[in-house]
Amino acid sequence: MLAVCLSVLGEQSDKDLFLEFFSRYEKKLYHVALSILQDPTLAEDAVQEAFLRVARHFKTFKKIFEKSCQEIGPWAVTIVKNVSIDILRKRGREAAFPEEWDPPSPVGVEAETGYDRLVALIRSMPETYRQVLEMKFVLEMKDREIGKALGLSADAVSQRVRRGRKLLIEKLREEGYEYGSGK
Amino acid sequence: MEAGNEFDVLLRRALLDGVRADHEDILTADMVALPEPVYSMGYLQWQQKLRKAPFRRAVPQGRRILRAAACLLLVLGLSGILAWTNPTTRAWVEKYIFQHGEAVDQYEFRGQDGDPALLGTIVPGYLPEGFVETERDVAPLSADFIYQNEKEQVIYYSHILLSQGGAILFDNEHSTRSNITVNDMNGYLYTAISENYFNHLILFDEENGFVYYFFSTTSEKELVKMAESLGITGEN
Repeated sequence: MLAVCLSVLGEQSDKDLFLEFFSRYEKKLYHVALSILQDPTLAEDAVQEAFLRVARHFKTFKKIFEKSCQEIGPWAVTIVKNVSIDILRKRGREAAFPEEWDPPSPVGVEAETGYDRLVALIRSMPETYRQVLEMKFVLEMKDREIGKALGLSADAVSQRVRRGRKLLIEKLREEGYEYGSGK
Repeated sequence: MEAGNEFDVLLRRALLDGVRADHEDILTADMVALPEPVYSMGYLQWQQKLRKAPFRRAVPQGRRILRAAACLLLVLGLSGILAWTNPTTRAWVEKYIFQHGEAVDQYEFRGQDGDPALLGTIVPGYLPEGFVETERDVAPLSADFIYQNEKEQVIYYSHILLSQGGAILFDNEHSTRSNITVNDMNGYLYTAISENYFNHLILFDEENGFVYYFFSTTSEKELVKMAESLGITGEN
């Protein structure tokens, strides 16, 4: 099933659009945060911060919404997930996310498309890489911004993005799928 | 499109689908099916305020200070709410008139408007050690930037398009003013003489019709170095 589309609302002011988005996603994002943080108070904090970030980057929200409103749900979830991980990190609870990569066994080149396999690999990859890739490619943050959020230098972020990307491409190639240049 | 870029487009979609799959049960659930949260009073109060003014709540404190300062300065200048004692008028360049007052100095713009398309594209190439850009906002009349370091010190930079008749004012009670020239642009440096007051650097780009304005409690020498490194980037 697809995310609820806001396009039925037609011409709207930014405020109306934001408030409609807020009313439709507040509860969902709260439950995503709660599933990660396991604490209602922290989940409230995460939701607050997530919506503030959406409001601050409303141009990006509108760009995604205009291009494909079905991406709004997972985009917003990516924000609240990142905020939740930050909260865990600040509380010294990074262990909630394992760092070893234990990808699921491939079903087979014919039964599973390369794209499905890519999604499966992403879902199983360590958050060390996944989070940086999400911040870079989904949230379109600059390396410096990512570095500030994660306590890393811009160079370290850039390396982690390259490494994460390369790991995915190499894994796909090992399993018989060909993507990207491997850079 | 290069193979690398194609993969990145695919990667972005796959990252979104990965998140969607991880939380499919929540994303696809009917609102009624999800348990109703029991929000705290503090959260409900925040919720109310956000509903009234979502974008105001989203603006970080630092940027509100910057905008409030810029708006106040421009509004005061345009409305003429000033008491001049022994005003000194000096037209040192064609486009800017400077007036010194009891508590404020005023710079009034008389030239042609700058090109709004350049707003936000003229940025400092140099940042003091440890500082990174944390906020950027491009509005119709100005582009505002905030830089911070781990000690939470802040540098504010505004790239302002002054329309005919606009003005900028500076508090001159808590600082000393000196003339300065940076990259052939004339300007003024206001060095704080009171504790915890800002140093200000303002430069007039006559050629392009802009004003570059830096202020911070950090060293005025660093502000000058930032100003010296101003250049045009491709993005805003």
